[in-house]
Amino acid sequence: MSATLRWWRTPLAGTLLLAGLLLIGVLAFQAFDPAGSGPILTRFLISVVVVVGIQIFMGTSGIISFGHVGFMAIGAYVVAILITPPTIKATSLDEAPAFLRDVSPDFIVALLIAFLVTAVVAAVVGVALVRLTGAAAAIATYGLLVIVQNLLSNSGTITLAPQTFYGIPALTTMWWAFAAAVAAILIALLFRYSRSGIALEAARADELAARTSGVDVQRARLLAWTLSAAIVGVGGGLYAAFIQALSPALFGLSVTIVYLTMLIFGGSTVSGAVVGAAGITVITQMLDGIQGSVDLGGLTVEAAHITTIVLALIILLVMMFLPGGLLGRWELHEWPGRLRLRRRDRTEAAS
Amino acid sequence: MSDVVQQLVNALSLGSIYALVALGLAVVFSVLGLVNFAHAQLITLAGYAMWGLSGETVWIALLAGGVVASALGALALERLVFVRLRSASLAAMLLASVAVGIILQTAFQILFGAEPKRIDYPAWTGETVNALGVRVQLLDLVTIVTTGLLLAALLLFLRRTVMGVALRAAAEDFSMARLMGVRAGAVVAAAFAVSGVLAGVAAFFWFASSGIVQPDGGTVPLLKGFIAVVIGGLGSLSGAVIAGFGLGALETLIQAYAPGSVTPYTDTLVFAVLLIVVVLRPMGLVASKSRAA
Repeated sequence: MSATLRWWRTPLAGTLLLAGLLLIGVLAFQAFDPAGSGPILTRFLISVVVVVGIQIFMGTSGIISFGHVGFMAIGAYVVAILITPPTIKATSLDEAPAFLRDVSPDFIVALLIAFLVTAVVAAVVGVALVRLTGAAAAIATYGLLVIVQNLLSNSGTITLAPQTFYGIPALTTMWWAFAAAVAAILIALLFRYSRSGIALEAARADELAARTSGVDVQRARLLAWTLSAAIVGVGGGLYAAFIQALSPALFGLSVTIVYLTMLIFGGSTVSGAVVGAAGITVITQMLDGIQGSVDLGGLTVEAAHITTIVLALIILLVMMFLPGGLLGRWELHEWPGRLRLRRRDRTEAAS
Repeated sequence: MSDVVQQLVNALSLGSIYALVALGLAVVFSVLGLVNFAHAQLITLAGYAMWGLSGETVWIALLAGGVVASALGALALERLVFVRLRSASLAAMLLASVAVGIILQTAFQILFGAEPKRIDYPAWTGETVNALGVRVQLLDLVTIVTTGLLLAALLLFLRRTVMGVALRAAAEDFSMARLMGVRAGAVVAAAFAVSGVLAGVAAFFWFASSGIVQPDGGTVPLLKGFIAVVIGGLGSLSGAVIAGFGLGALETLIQAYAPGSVTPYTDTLVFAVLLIVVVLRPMGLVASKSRAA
């Protein structure tokens, strides 16, 4: 009984472990490259927020979503519109409603508003989308991504599309992104061990059996979808205040694939999301070291193309030879207990 | 009156292309359960093959070149990639196809450059004719007739040949079909070949309207094919065709009769229809009995 009352202890321990590892990694990289590490680390930590966010839905339910970057776009534009100084908005958003032009909240308030707005949007479309699994879900969420891009591109009065949204202050520091990443990890782990998280885990193993046992699978899925979208929305907000200029084209299928590669590469757990984000960031950074273009027997290949192909090859090879990703189905903090169990099984089998 | 006939021809012609793409996706899905994102790159591949054939005066040869390219491409994909994922999960196959698609699209960019290439279409594709007192694009008529003939031929293949029957059996229940002596490898190869042929024909008519092909040229038709496949009910061949024509009609209606302020939102409207169908009929409008059960 006491174990169930203190169920939050395990996710808390897991968060501390992952946050500690992140901190060590960040400090180590800073010591290694004091001058150039800042933007790379900030970008990486924003990726952690986004990928952990996607994990809440995709990792626990096992349903593919190509739509989450759409929520990232919504969060990014919400924060951009809110935090851009009214003096700039007076000219750039001259056709937008007056309250959007005059408003100027704190960064943290803007991020919370982005969380709420994406949560509401996700909850509304989620009512339809959580009915789908497998291929239909993949296609419909891809459709969602197209819709969001289509709507943002045609809402020039508030997004400035087809022009670039400019003048966003650079408020996302590395420690802001670090705090957000730890918060995302905590929320994701709390969800994983919550009633809904366990319900999704059950539905993933056998949906029919879970339903028959009285598990409200769609309710759990809707909760996961909404929470996950909202965290990705915050990631988008951090991203907006990091790169300082937005256009709808930034939030397309190619970016989606990068984030999905991170999740798939690491494995479908929260730890997997963090490890995958780190691994893919390291790989892309190494590939970015290639300058300009490479000559392959008369064929000039641009560096950007090499990165794209390598990421796609990673997906392909992981799917062929390592379907569970690097970490498989278990969180990092679950490994000691798992090894203990396995050793006990072996000794019991031996005796 | 003439306006209505003209829009009807437009709708049928656009619907033909969507139906061909959707059917190509549905054939592979019904056998393997794979949603093939790389289908877009098969369409693009056919486009580049036709660009390579520039100067070819016989239009049937141009069409054949595209079809052969995408059919061989589809078979190569199956042999090199998907055969290794036969026992993998649905999600794994789907993501692998996305990855293959990205690799191919990037390869097109490296090989042919990002800028569009002009395909040498015969002059008649730009001409209009008077049919029953209405001026219509000759290309639209040829699109509709060719699609009709191809669908009829496919129907004959599925109903009258051993391989066709094996394909339908595998679509119903792959493991049972194998127990009945259907050779799995041959059936899967046949499904990919049919899918590639359909992609090639779709590519010929899709690229004809603009006359150009670029590395992401197949993305839009793939998207429309996806929508049609989900609306028609995943795995249902007839559903894919019907929904493809329906989608063509819907888009033509929006483009022709909706106010100008709405037309930029065509994609959004179309996906909204998809979401509504999904809520009301989760198995699609024309759900096949075996999968609905």
